[in-house]
Amino acid sequence: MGLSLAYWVVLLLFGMGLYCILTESNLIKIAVGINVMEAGLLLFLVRLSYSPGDLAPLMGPTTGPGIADPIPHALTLTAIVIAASTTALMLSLIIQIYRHYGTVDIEEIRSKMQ
Amino acid sequence: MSHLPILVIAIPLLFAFLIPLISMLFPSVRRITVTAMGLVYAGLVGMMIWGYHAMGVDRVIYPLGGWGPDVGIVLELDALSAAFAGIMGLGILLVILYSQDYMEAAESKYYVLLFIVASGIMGIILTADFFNLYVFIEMSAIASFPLVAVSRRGTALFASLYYMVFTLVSSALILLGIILVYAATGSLNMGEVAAVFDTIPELTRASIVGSFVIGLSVKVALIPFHSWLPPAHAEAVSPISALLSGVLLKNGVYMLMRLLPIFGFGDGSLDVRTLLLVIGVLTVIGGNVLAMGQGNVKRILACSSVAHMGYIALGIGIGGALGFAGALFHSLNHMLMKAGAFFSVGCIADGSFELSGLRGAALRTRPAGITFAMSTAGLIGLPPFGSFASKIMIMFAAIDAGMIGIAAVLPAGAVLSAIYYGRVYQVLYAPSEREPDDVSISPWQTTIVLVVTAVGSIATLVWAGNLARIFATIADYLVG
Repeated sequence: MGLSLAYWVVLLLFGMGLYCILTESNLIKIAVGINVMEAGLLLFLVRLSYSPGDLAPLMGPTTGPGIADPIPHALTLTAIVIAASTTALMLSLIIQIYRHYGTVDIEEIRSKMQ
Repeated sequence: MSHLPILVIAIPLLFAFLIPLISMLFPSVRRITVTAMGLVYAGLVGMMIWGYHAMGVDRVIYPLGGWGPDVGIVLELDALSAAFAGIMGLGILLVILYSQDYMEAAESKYYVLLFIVASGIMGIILTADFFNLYVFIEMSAIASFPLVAVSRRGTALFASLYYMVFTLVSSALILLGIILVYAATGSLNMGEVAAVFDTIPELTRASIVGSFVIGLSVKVALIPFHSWLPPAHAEAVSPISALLSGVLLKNGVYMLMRLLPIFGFGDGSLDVRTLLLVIGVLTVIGGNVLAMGQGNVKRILACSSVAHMGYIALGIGIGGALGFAGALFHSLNHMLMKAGAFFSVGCIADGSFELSGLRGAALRTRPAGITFAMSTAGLIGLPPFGSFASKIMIMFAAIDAGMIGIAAVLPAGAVLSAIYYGRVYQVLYAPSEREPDDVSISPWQTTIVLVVTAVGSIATLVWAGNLARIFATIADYLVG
């Protein structure tokens, strides 16, 4: 089973997010990196439950072949809520840090802390 | 037993959101209300453990809303959950009681977050569902980020963000592991996953175990993923340092102990035990060496937390029931002693925790000066304190397994920690020129907390035989 395009996109997003977190020194970019990484994971979760042509489990039979698995979608929704709230908290912390140090660059903040 | 498993999760959540209402309507009774809430929480946890003990069964399944494990999410209470519920419940109660004098001017938000952490922790311990586990991990973690920044100092804000970034990456890795588990087994129930885990293809199994182990290593602050811990634990206010070190680190320890047996320690595909041994040795030595270079008491205590997580990782990595039991026992001891040390140092120093400004400070505070010496002597691993027993247990486990090199790491770590704590004692207990009657005595509630941690750290050695037997039964049940 070769990897379909969707899985490559997942890998790319996850890798890009992680790379961004590890290498960037701008706090906002790190927050963006975390979001990109989480987006990759969520896409993975959605993709796992669906293969082309599947029906939505709404009417008639709700499980079985040819019907998409609804659980990952419910999980994704929960994970999106968590990701949104962590992002909000992270951004509010960054705003407070900016008020203290006048910059969002890690290196500059570190030098001002000394 | 009845509904206690869900109540210990739901009641603190209810308390969390009642606190702002009460402090708005009746500000004068906030203090007594929060104390009562903390005691009710600890009481519920105690009743749950007692009920479990009285039932005399291996595990109690609580189906949420009456839906069984096949369709619904269930809570599960077994010996490991009961042990950790006891450790964490006691830790949270001590933090709440200590906070009331120390954080007298704190806004209600502080207690809201504290009770959300309390609820999330019980959720982690009790859930039998992988995704639910992720939700509770995030719940307790998200509430702890602002708690680190509660002093609103720039350094604390930055430490909080730093801690947050590491924790979010670790949660993302844990979520990746959970997604893979669901994709490979079609189930999120821990029992069902454990039953079919052997049949998963080798590569998938290795990726699942790998993402969980790395994610949890970040949470437990094992070297090389430790760098978030010293700033976060040192910059937070003292009760929160105790919460982070004493209680929240044990979250990760609990998850390692819960999940690794489910994954069969990744046997055959990825040797988790060897990995934990290597990381554990690095962490014990590295954490202690890091602590030596610090000039701030709280940073020294924080770096020593890293080292102690290393001891626990060694206990799990050695494998076998004895090592596991030792790791469990050490979790209890570390909770009491590290929380005690942070509580005491909060009373000894006000404002700055730099060693240079604390000459003779411990002699001027009662009883914090005494309890600080007791807790830190316990952390070194000296008798008559409990961690002497738990370290000996881990050492014997290593000798039993024929790993003499690993066994030698424990006394080496103790010697290293004796050196830096010795330096702390030299400064804190230096005779000063100030008047001897210039002694500050802690308020009674704080005094109770300090005495409980100090006496507790001796009590665990007095009852070491019984405790070791209980923990050995749990370990037998887990790893056979």
